[in-house]
Amino acid sequence: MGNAKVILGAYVPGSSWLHHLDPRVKLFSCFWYVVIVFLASNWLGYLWLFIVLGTLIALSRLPLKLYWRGIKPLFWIILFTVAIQLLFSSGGHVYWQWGWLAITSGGFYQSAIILARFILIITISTVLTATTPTLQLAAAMEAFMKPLRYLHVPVNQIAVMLMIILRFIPTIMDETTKVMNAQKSRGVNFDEGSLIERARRLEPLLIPLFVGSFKRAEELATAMEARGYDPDAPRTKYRVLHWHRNDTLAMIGLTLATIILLATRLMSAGMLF
Amino acid sequence: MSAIEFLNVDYIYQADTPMAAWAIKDFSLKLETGSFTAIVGHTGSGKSTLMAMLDGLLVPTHGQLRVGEVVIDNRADKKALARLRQGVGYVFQFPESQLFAETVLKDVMFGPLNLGVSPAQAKEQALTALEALKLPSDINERSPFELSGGQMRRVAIAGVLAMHPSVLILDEPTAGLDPQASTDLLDLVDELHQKGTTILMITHQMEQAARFADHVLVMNHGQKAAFMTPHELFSNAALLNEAGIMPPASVAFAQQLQSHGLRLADSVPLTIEKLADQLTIRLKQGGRANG
Amino acid sequence: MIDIQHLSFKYPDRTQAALNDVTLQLPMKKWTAVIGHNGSGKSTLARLIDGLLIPSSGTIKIDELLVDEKNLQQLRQQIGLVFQNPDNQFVGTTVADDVAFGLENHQIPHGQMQARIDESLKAVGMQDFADSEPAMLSGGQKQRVALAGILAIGPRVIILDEATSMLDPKGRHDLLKLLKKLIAERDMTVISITHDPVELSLSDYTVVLDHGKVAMQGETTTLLQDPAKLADLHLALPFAQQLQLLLKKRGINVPAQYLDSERMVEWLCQQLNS
Repeated sequence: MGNAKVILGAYVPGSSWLHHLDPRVKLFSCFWYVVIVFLASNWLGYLWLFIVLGTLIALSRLPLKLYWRGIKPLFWIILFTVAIQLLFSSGGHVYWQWGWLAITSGGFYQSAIILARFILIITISTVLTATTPTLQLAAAMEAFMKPLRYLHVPVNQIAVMLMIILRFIPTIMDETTKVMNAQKSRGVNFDEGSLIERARRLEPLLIPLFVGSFKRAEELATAMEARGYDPDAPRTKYRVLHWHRNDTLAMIGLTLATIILLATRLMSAGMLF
Repeated sequence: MSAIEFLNVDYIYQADTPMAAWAIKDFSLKLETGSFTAIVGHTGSGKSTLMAMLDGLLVPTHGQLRVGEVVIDNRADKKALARLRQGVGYVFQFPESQLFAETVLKDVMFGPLNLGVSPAQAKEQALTALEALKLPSDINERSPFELSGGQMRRVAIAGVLAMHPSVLILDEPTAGLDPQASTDLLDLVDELHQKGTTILMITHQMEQAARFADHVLVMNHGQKAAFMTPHELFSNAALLNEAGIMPPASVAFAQQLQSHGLRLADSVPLTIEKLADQLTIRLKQGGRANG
Repeated sequence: MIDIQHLSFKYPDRTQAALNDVTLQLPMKKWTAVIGHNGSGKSTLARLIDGLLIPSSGTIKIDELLVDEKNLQQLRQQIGLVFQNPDNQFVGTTVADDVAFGLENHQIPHGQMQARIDESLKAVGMQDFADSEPAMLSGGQKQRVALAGILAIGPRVIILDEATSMLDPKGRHDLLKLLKKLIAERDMTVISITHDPVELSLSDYTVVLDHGKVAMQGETTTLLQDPAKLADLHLALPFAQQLQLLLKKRGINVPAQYLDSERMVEWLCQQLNS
């Protein structure tokens, strides 16, 4: 009834070099990449960022169509934002003007930057989620959260909760279908009517799901207790993340990419030529 | 005109994608009004898919399905499906998970109200249904979530019966119930059958099929493997073996007797009472019975 | 021996006690069935033995180990409990992760985990499903994984709280067969709370609870010789016992020692093939 890994994010099973990397490296690199996107200050910098992205896409051995699917849902938002930049930014040569609106060369420049940033950030996130199963992402996040323990954040408990959430998502989706069918059988029409009517019709769906979830939580807590779970006690770990040589290589690659990007900034300031 | 008719029905999941999978293949069947049909078969054999089509929750990929006057095929619109659901009641497995209203009475009235019945009429239908399920009237104003598991189940079933369906589908109605509650529930279902409701019951317990059903439909990998009376089915060792079905305990016992050389007049006693009756007759005839 | 002395328990939101001054001795290394109508106190007893509830009065001792808050860690290691709903006790995202959950709780060193997981999955016949997700398993398979999770910790006592009631006949049959095998191979003590007459007939010892008190107890074979008394308590009987009662009502007395289907067949053949 569905693979949680595939349903949730955009994880696509595969065996590429990227698929095999430690999720901590991937999560960190994704985050870092987004940071350096904002450090690019000229067309050379953006070109370099696109080259890096292209290399990663090639390494993921997944079809470009997949990455387009990551952008598609946000297409209109991107278009809207780009249009705003185009019509409202000022600076440089004016091509057309009408009241508050103006299309200027400055506008073109700004909107090109916005468009580039959207594409780069969305696509690098897709690279991350397409090559990393959700459970591994959760493990990586748990690893990064460890220092928060010193701030008395219950990291271990959050990790267990994350695992339980992931485990129950397919089960709850099945239950939702089941309750919907039961209520449809009793004459409820979920797709007709005004927004308000449809919202009210959610009651026979949401209440059983809530009640069911509470009951489930209670039984689960009892079972966990019977199995020796103590949220405050130390626990050993079955799934341990292992660092490999490829992960070191990836971090070196990341460092190099950053250095080159910084170099492009210097070029615009005329220091290297 | 028979109550229910399936004509060369196919159901394919995700039909236009590369992940298409056959769930029901070339299924045809006629069921008479007021009949009681037990539906058996391995998990994944298509029993639930078939019933979902019968209740208008799924639409056949090919073929046609008729319930009373309503005909459904893959071009059926929402109105036709709604009309279908008006006449068909479906008690899902563990139906108590569908309860949601503030009071028991309101929950049971929900179905009839959705059908367009007046509130006064809905209340009457609800009260009658609750009484039929032998629920005490003092629970009517209580929250359904305060009740015991067995009571919640009965309230859920009352909610379906209050809609006065002419066809009633039940999916393992006794799952998780203790033996006494199971017996009570099935007796009630049989009462409905006697009063003229067409019943379809999915079950894994052959004792239930043997005791109550006029016919048994055996499903195997999405196809109709057999449609016959319980007596015919449980005499057919080859078919039972192929479909992976164990006969009811009373039949198995009679077969054990037979393998020791002891034949009964009816070699396929469908209930333990019938078995006991036959044994009594033989023992009293046979001389050494201590009475 | 599991020694239960004058055990009483009352849930805070109920007026009547769930268990009322119950004194019992349950044999170790045997299969004990605890049966009774809904509300007789069966599940409550199971949870008290496992230390999940604290008695209002009375004591429970598992051999020499006293069931109380101080010994919780030992209790959790020595007793495994399989609950009724296969979904609501399955914690891991895969079968292996679920078995590992218990190991992690008991702080089993990482190096020992894989071997224990493999061994316990093999013992329950689920070794090919180690990477399967729960949504793809049947109820019976999930219960077997629950059992594997318990076996991996190495307990002495397994308690089943209506663990078969939500399963289909095949799932039920497979689970019971597995338990019988485990008792024989590993000297386990099994306590099963149940309605199922087949489960009852597999047990060595039976306790019947009625409204929080012990109504009957003893060797299962002895208790089954008096099916009328069990029927009076509204309990479901195994097939042979049901048949005995029906024959009695029709004027045929089957001697008490012909307790199961096979022996009844023998008796009937004796009577009729002479």
